[in-house]
Amino acid sequence: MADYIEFNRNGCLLQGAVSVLKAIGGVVPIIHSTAGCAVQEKYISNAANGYAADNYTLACTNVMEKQIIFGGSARLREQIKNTVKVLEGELYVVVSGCASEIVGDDMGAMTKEAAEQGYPVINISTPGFKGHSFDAYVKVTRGIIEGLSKSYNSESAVDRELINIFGIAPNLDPYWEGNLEELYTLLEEAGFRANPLFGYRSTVENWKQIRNAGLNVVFTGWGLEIARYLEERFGTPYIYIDEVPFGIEGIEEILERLAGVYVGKKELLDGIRRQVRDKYLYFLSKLASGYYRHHIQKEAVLVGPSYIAAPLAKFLENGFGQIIRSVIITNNIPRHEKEKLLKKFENIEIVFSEDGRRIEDKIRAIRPEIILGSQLETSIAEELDIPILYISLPTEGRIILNKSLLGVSGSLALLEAYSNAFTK
Amino acid sequence: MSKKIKHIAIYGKGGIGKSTTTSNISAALAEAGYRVIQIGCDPKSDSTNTLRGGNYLPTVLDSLRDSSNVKIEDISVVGFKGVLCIEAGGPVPGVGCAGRGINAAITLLQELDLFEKFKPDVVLYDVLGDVVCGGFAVPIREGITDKVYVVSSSDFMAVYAANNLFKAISKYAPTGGAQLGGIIANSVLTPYAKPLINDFASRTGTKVVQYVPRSSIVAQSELHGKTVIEANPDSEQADVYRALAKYIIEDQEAAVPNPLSVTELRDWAKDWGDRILKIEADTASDLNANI
Repeated sequence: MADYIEFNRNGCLLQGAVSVLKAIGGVVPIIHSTAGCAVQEKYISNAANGYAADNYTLACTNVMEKQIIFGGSARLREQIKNTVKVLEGELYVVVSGCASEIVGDDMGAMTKEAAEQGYPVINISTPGFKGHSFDAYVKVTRGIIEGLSKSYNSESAVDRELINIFGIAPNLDPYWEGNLEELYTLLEEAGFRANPLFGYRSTVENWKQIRNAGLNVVFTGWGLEIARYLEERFGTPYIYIDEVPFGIEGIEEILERLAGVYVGKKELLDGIRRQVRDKYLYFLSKLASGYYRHHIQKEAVLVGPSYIAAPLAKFLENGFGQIIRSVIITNNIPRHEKEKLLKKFENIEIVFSEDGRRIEDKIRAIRPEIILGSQLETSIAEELDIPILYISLPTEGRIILNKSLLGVSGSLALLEAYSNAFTK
Repeated sequence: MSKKIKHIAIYGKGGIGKSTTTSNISAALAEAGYRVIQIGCDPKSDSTNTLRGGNYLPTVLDSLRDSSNVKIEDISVVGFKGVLCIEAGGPVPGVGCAGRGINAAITLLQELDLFEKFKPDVVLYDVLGDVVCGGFAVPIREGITDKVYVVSSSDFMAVYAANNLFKAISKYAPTGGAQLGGIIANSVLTPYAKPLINDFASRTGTKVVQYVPRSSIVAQSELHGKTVIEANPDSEQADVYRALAKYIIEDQEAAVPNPLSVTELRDWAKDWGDRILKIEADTASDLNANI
């Protein structure tokens, strides 16, 4: 029998693609699809993300039946022509929705035509039926790199100190921007130059410089996919850390791996590593008395996509002595990744569900003392009268600017918030 | 009480002679006094050419593209003996979605109350028969046509297309879609053609409703831009079409076919591959014996 899903929190490939593109400075997405695709992305994903990009204008071809039957290429041509006049950008990226893809519109020809007229336009095929919002990160990243390399043929001049970071997905994680900032700062402290590709300081020029980086630092399967592609294409080496590096161990691992590649900087990097650990432990020790006084060893449930909920659970268990009752994974991941997670968390219950109602039922049955999840878990938290911390989208109404959960300050901020939930 | 209009779809592989057959059925029915509408459901929009003597006819979809206020007069032309000719039309090859076009065109004709206004006895839909997507199956879905005939020659690819169509019919029939009236065997020339098509029909639970011989009369009429009924009304070929038209208008039988599976069809074809040479040899020796 067919099953139903209530309160699904995951979008489609197109929605994810626009979320990712919105995070790149100078990039203007042009949606080639029906109007609803743009409306949903603009209002629903903005609402889900605390209206962080509410003033963002989306260009859309708003195709109708006429464009389905006779093809929508001419409509797209018109839309590109007008968008470059009214929306300022350094790169226009046409992303396609289901209807236009089924009909087989030749988007490549339209963007090529615009490019020949001197407009920086590329296209990426992103029909909603081809994947989930989380698949968009790799698709868009590769799409821009490939699109730019077609029209950008400058000589490569590799700068060993320039580092790209891949694997932190913009607008698919409430703290993506703060997390990236934290990683940039870390790299810059060690004398490297980070190449911001998303969020603050990101530019199209930075995207053109991706090929010139001396190293790619990548997290998660997505990051790995991009790193392998860039290694094959431009010969860029990479270091791969399979999880988002929550907690101090994650940061230490990055520094250690960097020291392995940049042998000349080993001393400097080891020094930073010691300093980071020292600083972290200093502040953590300030938490010790409160930790015991308020008995902050709690039973927790985490709800969110695999790349946030799973490593965060590990950090809270190993780095903060919490009892993780269950990790509920809300994104739709392939079977082999599910098996990998189950193997990694042998002692913790891992549940896979996209269904808000079933997630509530699960939490109700467990009766944890705290939930780390999304806005969709607030009602069960209220019902159980337990605190909730937001770690995953949606987080409607919550203002999140550059808060991070990574690095020394991010880890400490998370532990502060976690502890304060029990000190009232 | 309003009379029951017969809605009949005629499918078949591209180039098999669907439009020729459909137009001649229309002409024969009109000649016999029936009010007929023929709707070409093929993006090539050449179904009704021989009925309207080359008169210009904008397609439904072209009109829909250019105006939101389409009237029946804009998209139809009265052809031979009052047959109302309509072409659904479609995009230029290589772009857009012709299947969606067929869907949109038929929806528009219903919205325009075409059948209530013209009050036909019979509506013939001449449909591109390879059923490449859902759009081309629209005419056999519930509420559009009652019955389907498939035009096939004895060529394997035509039989293959017919079998595919049977799959579509058997999919939609249980939910109120059209049923199969039978096979119109076209271009019957070789000695093995009849037994081959007959065998396919019996294996799939249907029958051959008419054998249309291959004839240069057809080619000659078409080159003059006319149906056989109009150009060569006294020919034997015209009588074949008349008999077919009579059968179709009076036929009450319809069934859900049992399409062959891919392997069954392959084995069936192989078996016939072994038999046709023998049939030809036997026929040749019969002829020699008679000399």
